[in-house]
This record gives sequence, structure tokens and C-alpha cells, in this order.
Amino acid sequence: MTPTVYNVIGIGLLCAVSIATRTLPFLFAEQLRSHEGIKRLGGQLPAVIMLLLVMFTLRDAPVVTYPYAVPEAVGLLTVIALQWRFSNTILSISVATLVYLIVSTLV
Amino acid sequence: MQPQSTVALTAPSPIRRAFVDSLPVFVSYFSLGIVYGFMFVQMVGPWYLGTLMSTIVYAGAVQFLALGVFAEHGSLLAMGIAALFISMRCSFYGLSLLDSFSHGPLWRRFYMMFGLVDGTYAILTTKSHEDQRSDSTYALSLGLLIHSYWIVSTAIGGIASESISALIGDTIDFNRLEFILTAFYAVLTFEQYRSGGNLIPILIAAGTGLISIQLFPQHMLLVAICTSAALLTIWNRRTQS
Repeated sequence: MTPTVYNVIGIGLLCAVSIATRTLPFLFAEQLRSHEGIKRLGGQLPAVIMLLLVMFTLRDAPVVTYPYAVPEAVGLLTVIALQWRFSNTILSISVATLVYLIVSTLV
Repeated sequence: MQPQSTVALTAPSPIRRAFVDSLPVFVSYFSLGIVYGFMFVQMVGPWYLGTLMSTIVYAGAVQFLALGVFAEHGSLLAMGIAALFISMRCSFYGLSLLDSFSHGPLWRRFYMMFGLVDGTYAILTTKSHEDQRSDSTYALSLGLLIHSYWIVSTAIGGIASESISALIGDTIDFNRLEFILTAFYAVLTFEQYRSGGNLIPILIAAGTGLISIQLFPQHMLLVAICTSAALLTIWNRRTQS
């Protein structure tokens, strides 16, 4: 297999995975829609998944060794405080990222 | 005096609203896309292959995983299975949007399903946008915009990487910009809580998340989502009866 063929096969495979995982629930939409438990779950999952994505992106942060995930914690507190106070997503994200970058450079 | 028509004239179009709502995602996806395009050229091959990947695979975490496999010419089967594990969370996304995507021409529904990535899902499920969710022009524009941010930024990163790779490679630590994504998800978690006011899903997610990070750091997302969904189902059953 030449590198190009290998890469193209790999990309095609991943494309198939993306399409399959994203269209699957809609193929069974009729059965799923009428199910009360699924409906309720669908409403609760966004909060669950968003928080898990936060944790997923921070999974490599060192918690028990120096610097004890301090930059990440400070960044998260900043973003929540700003969002709570001003409800301006762009402001919260940019200031918090800046704070994170500064703190992680200092420690 | 014509209050009716004034309202109609000044009300922002669905496309405009989609653009404004997509701006936070623009910031995070565009910067991450540049990083991806840049790294693809450094590790795998020409910029257009990376751009093709962002177009038809369109899955950030999977694409970053593939970088490592492609660079080492690793097993494609193992990569496919890992990708399946990572992407399976997108199957859960559809559950929240079954009604919204149930009408319209097939190509549009298919494209919107394909475009159901973290950013699109997050915006469509934010409670303040509930009335817009069923607006197909809004949803389609949102999907197209976010997809194009990812494609264009990958191309920019790749081309920049090919032309000035040696210079930039050592001077900027792109990895730390990933905090933009973290902050974005944190805002969305907070907004989900603020609009729903239900602490149970958040507590369950925090618990399962912490445990699965310890036990399955590589697959923590899928494991924690499945466990949370199961626990929530049990909780819902108990509180219902």
C-alpha cells in the first residue's frame, strides 16, 4: 500500500464512521420518538455531555502533581463567573482563555 | 405608523441569527482547525488531504486521533474501532433532535445529521434557541457555517504549515489554545443548568466523568455518557412512579 492509498482508505473509513454514528438514531426515529423515557433523556443529555466534554478536554491536566491543575481551575472559575454575571459568551471565553494562558505561563 | 412591517424588517434573518449564534464556535473551531491543518502537514501529508478529511470526516477528536495513526502507519482497523468509540456520542446527540430533523428534503436532513458535531449540537440544544431549532433555514445555515469554519481553517493551517513550517513550529505552543474549547463547553454546561435548573444530570455527569477518567482515560467520553444515560434512565423511572 502506498502512503497515499493508505491515507485515502483511512479517511474513507473514518468518513463512514462519522456518517453511520450520526444518522443511526434518525433511522429509528419513529420508534424512539414515541418513547417517553427517551424523550426525557434527550432533554437531560445536553447538560451531561457538555460537562463531560469539559472534563474530557481537561483529562490530561495534572491534578495531584504540580501545578495541581491550578491554571485550569482558575480558567474555569473565570469563565463561569463572567458568564453568570454578563451572559456574554465571547467575552467569557476570550477573557478566561487569556487568564488561563497567563496563569499557566506563571506557574 | 406601520408597527407590523417595522418588526418584520428589523427582525434578523435566520441566516444572520445563525451566524451570530455560531460566533463562539467560530472562535474555537477556527483556531483548532488551524492547529489541525498545521499538524496534519507536519505529521501526515499534503494540506489538501487534511482539508478533505475535515470536509468528509468532520470530527475533531477522531481527526486528531487519526494524526497519530496515519503518521505511524498504524492499524486502520484499530483506528476505525477507536473512532467508533469516540464518535458514538454523536448518536446520542440525535436523540435530542429527533423532532427538529424530521421534515424537509432528504439531502438536507442527511446533511444536518452529518453536521451534528459538538458545536452544532450545543447551539441547537441551548434552551434560548428552542423556537429556532425547528426553523430549517436556521439549522441548515448553522450547520453549513460551522462546517465551513472547520474546512477553511484546516486549509489555512495546512497551507501556512507548508510555507512557514520550520519557523512557526518551534515558537508557538498551539496546544494551550485548546482551552478555548474547554471554556466554550463550560459556558454551555452553565447555560444548560441555568435554563433547566436541574442539578441531577450535572451531578451524575460529574460523578461518572471523574470515575471513567480514572478507569478509562482514552474512552472516558463514551463510557461516561453511556453510564450517565443509564443512571438517568433509572433516576427518571424512580421519580416518575
